[in-house]
Amino acid sequence: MNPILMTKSLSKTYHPNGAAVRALREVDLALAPGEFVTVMGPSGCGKSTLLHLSGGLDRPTSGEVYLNGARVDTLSEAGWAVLRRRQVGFVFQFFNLIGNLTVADNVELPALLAGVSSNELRRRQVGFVFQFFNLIGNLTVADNVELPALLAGASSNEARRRRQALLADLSITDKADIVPSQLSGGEQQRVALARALINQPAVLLADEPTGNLDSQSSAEVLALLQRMNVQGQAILLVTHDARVASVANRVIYMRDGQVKDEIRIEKGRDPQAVLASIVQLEV
Amino acid sequence: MRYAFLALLARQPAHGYELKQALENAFGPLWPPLNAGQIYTTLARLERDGLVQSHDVPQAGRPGKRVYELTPQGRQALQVWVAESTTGPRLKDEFFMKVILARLSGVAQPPALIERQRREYLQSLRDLDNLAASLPPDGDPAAALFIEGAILRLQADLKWLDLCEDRLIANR
Repeated sequence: MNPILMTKSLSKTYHPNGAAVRALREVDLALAPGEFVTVMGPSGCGKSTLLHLSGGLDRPTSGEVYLNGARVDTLSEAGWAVLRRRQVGFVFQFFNLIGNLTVADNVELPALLAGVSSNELRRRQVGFVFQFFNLIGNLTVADNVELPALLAGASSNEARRRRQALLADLSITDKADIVPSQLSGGEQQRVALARALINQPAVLLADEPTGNLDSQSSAEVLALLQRMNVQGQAILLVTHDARVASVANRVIYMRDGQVKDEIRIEKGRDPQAVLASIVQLEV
Repeated sequence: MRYAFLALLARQPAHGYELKQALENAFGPLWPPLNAGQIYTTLARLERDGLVQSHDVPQAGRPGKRVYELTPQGRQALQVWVAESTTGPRLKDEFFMKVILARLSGVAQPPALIERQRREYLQSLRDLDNLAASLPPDGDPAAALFIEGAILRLQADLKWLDLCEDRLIANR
């Protein structure tokens, strides 16, 4: 099966203080349709850079990125903007950073929601990647979730239909009409997840999506991601947390900007025996 | 098992089968399966040491039950054990021996050992996560806490593998 996301010899070098830092070194990655892959490694290993380059949030120094078979690393920013609305969903650790929006975007958002046509939106190239900005504080949950659908050209009826289905699926239907600040962290991340999924993206990119959550909310968000994956959603998730990484079908272990190992996670081992091999009651 | 029995008998006198059931309730899937022989051997030793005493309770139409209760010495032994701080090694790590000896002897490559062990730990994390998820949410917290403890140890073990890689392997 053709990969939904593929990188070829992807490299990125930064020059933060003049000296070259090779954040990513010739990484080959292939994500099959419906696959759930996590990228794990200590901080600074290049895993976030890999995710950002895969979603067009940053440009590679060399190498190639393919989304659904089409080369995308050569796209213009405007080209990426259209693609991200349709093909890529993002979830981040910090889900409430309205500061990421420009003043112009903040001012224009309500106008967009008030019914400017999608063609008009595209013509004006407004708010090119709202989808990966985080929850917008002065909009309700429902509006936050519907926004990417409206921007991608869905009718308001269609956006509402998809939003209602997703909020029901994520058990937050009753939160639709309140603003994000009244939600717990776990609920906000579920809203962010709904928003990332509303355009039925080819791939969901998640950067430490549980990094800011307590253990209970973290488990819930991971269970939701697993459920979305069972329903066919391809997911690429980066984390420094081995427990989070282990929920995937395949774990990519990175170190020093390179892929060091790929680990397939099996089902069907006897968990009782595993438990006894790690810790035993001693009396 | 001695102190587990003393603690259970500190609540109320009980016969052997009740003790088995109480242990299974308290520790859920964590306690290895007990057979009747182990239970009665342990109880006989406790009685020999004067920590419990027993008497037969006749039952209509069936053989009598032997009911055990704690003696004052038994209660004291239990209190001493509980009050002692728990010291001594709680981790046995054969893997560490393998890495050091492989490095010393050249019989295997430490990076390969570390890689294999990382795979093992990651798979174990997934297995334990599944086990934790399979517990009833309204059940006794003991089993869930025990599994969480094992998961935290695995997470520490994985970080420690990164350290081994950093410090033992030159020019990785």
